[in-house]
Amino acid sequence: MKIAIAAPSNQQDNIEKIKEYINAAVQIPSEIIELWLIGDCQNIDEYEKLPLDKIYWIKIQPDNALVPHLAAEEILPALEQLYKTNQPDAIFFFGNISGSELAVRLSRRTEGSCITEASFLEQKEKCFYVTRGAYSFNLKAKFEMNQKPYILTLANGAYEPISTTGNPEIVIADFEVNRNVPWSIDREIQNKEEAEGLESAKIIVAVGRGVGSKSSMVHLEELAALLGGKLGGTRPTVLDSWLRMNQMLGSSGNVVKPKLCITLGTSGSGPFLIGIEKSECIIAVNNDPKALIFKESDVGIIDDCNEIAEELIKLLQQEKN
Amino acid sequence: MMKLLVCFKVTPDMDSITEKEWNRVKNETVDVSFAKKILGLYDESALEMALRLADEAKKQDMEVELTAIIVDSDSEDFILKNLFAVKYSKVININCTMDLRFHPDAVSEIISAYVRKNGTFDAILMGQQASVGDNRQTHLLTAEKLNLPCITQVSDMTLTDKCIRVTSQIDLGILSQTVIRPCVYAIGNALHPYLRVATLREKMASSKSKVDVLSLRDLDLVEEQLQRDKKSFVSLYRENKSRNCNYIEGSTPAEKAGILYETYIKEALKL
Repeated sequence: MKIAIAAPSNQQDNIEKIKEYINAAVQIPSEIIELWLIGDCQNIDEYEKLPLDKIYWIKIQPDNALVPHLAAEEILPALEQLYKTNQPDAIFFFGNISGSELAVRLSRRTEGSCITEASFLEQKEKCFYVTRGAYSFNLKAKFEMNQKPYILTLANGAYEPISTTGNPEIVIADFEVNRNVPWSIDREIQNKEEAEGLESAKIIVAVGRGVGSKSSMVHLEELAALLGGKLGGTRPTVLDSWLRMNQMLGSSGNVVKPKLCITLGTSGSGPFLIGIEKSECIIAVNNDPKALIFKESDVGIIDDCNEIAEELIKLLQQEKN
Repeated sequence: MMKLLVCFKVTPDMDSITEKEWNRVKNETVDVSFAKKILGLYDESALEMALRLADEAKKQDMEVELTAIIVDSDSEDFILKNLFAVKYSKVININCTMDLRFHPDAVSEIISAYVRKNGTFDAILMGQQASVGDNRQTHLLTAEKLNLPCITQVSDMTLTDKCIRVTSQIDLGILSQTVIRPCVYAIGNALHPYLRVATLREKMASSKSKVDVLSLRDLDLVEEQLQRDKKSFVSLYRENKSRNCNYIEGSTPAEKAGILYETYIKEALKL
């Protein structure tokens, strides 16, 4: 198989992400792996060490630094052109917002099969299978892709980064892109909120609606701080404004892998578990013994989560003093 | 007149389904028909967002037509009728007996056919994802089929000088833009996520409103053509990834917290 990995050049942790995608391509297995690098790139020498056959550097001309965000409509013509020239069997996009948009829309334009957030890929007797989450991530669904190009995005952390290196040839693909989006005016970008540090935290206190109300957040923030950790929560706690958007854990928020994750009053819904399932140890506190979270935890306490939190705060303060 | 279309789905409440029931998955399906039916989480936000746009439009002396559309064969009538009570002008149910769980191509084809038959809508709103299928493709395919732009991960929409000002999440941060042409909006984590509650008086006033039921034939669609998919659904299964939960016993929260602290937390704090 010939596989193209389409990646934007302006994302943080780009190289590590591309290595995960290369690993997925290698395991299928594939004969040729090429990278379609989209946009301006300051550190091209880092890409030159990746174990790839070729890098097509899609330089967007004219580059307009005032509008750093490219709408899918602006990039798609360049990708269509590159597909026609290179004819890969499969194209992998990042599972972020722009990658998912490009994947689905390109599949329509190239008449290919498309799956987003794939967790496992396999090829058996010339058939190509893709597995992904379904029923709010409570189940897995397996599909056979029937029409090339197979266009995919991968679920966060589905494959480990590949550790080998290479020396790919770089081909400059200069595309004139119309940077005018005729349907939209007065575009303004507010940069990402400062990260809460959830992704690098060693200890995370993850709260659900079971903690009762927004007023509980004060002592739970204190608990997280005393543990030297960070506070995060389920989607409902964020939508109810108990926590900030960048504190959301789960499939539509942060996916974390701390040493210790203490969940308080979470039911254990599928989308939330996606966010914490890579934790080394999960401790669940919930007063409902039937809550799904216990099935996914290493340690469980069936009790009032606020009372347990209060007791932990007392113990941590004693230790501190 | 501003025409708004909201596409929505009614789904089982996944949080009410237990581990035991998930494990009953067999072959290609799992029976979740007993579970309480709710509006798709993001679709509910889309329905509320359109109502808020309509409220603003009325304040600016604009006429608004609000249509809600569902592609389903078996929807709870009270959920659909409630939409009249919160002031939707039309509620359309497109009857389709096909298994649409993993077929966003067919769903987007049906929505596009309805739009083509009913003139231009200024905005087509839908949730960015709905449980059961979790396909995350319908909005983008609808936009492609109707040759419209698509803004995803929308968190807020307001009306400024009779144009829609949209706030959406992008990979770099938050993008605000004014949209001056028809567009598909996929609603993500919205500022106002829940549908407003209708008063008893509003419910009584709308009790005689009727949901329009359309067939595929009404939209000049043929089921056999819709069934063609570029991927085939093979199987459904429950992944066994459970950890072995060790329960901490004790007579008071203080005792349990003490055991937790001594046995697990102290060790983690040393790292």
